Amino acid sequence: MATADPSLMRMLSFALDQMRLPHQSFTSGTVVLQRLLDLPRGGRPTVVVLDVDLPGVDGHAILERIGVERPDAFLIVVLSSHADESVQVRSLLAGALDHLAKPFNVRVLMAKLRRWVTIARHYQVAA
Amino acid sequence: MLSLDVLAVALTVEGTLIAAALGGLAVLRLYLVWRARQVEAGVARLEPLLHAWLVENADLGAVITFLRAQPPHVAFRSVARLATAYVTFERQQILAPLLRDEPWVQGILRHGRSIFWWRRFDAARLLSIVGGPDDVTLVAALLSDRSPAVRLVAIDAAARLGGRLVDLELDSLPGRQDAVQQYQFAALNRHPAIVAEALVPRLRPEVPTVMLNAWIDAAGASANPVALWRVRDLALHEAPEVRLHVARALRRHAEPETVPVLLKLLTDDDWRVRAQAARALGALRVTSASAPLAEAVRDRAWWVRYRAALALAQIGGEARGRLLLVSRGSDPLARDMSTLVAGLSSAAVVEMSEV
Repeated sequence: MATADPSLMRMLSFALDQMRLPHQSFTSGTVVLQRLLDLPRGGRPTVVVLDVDLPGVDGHAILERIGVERPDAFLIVVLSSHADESVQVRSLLAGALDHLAKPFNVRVLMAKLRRWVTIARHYQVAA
Repeated sequence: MLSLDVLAVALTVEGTLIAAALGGLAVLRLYLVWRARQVEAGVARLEPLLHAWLVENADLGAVITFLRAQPPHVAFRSVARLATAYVTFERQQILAPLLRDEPWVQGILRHGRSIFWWRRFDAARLLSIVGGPDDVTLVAALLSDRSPAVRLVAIDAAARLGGRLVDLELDSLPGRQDAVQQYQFAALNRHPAIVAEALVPRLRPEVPTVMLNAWIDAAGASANPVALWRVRDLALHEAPEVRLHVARALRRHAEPETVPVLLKLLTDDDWRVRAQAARALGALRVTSASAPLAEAVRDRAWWVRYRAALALAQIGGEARGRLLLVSRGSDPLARDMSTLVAGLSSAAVVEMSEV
């Protein structure tokens, strides 16, 4: 989970704790990109909640880099303050599974995350 | 000697006044810092209560009770900060009636007609979160406030309340700056059904051009199919400015009947209309428009060549093949443009097509 918004970070952490989903939080684009690229290859994909507005490397640049270097390793949902068509299309074309404009319904996001985590587990079984 | 005495008195008075002014500024600064800290503390304590409601559907009573116990400015700023950033519109609808009759809310709303703009601004901001049917008159007044900042915030409140206020907003659209119009569109889009109902009867060819253009833009921003049917009927309007706005709005109207209209606009006498038609065909990914778009890359106007080339790149597949073909053709202007656009990444094409 990567966002530079501390309040959003606390809300998402709280929600993920309620769902008992293990997670790691990052506030810098540079750091989260490095950590994602350093993750071991193989195994089930990691679910990533990625805010576009990150310091260092922004969310879209992270998506594009991951799309080139580790195309099938992550299930990524993008969060953004921008609901413009072009921003949403850019996220999805760069490989995001979904794009949510803020303010978004956190219960809906959690339901989606639950579903994607299940899908990620199936990937592992299939592998 | 007398003049020296006068000078000494003047210097003493001046020094005292400067010291008093500096002291006043320091006290004011300390007061503002103290208030800001109070608000930060309020936000920090409200946050977990709000999270519990948003994530677990916990009882809202804890939020209401907490806010009631805070000084009004702390309650207001905490709600304004958290509710607008993290609470969706549908959740705000649940929160609003519970907050509306709270004493701190009423205190701030009483300032809706204050002589100080910042008090009216706070009232408008709060109305955009808690406004109800009883606030229609006040919001209508704030919509035409003499302060642009107040008017801008009142747009959110008006969109939230709908009804007659949507009519007022639509009527005010033509006189607004472009940036304010964009803000208004975003606010109005929260009520697509109400806005479409108010917009459709306005989209008539005899309406003055300036007003018609603003309403066509609103229909485009709403992407409402019923409103866009009416927009499509204006494609043969005698004023090129109107046809230009029609072509731009139709990029959000993905219906087969829109394609021949846009192809017609692609051959319009006005280059601005041709450019917007090319943009719309690209945005709608009209594969059958590849040949006319490839032809438009040879247009005499730079913007038309640019938009047509971008549209071909956006459509992709066979259309991109045509773009590459033009880049190897004999027309030097078309060749330059298609070579430039063919070299862009898909993300760059999406980004540039929207600008």
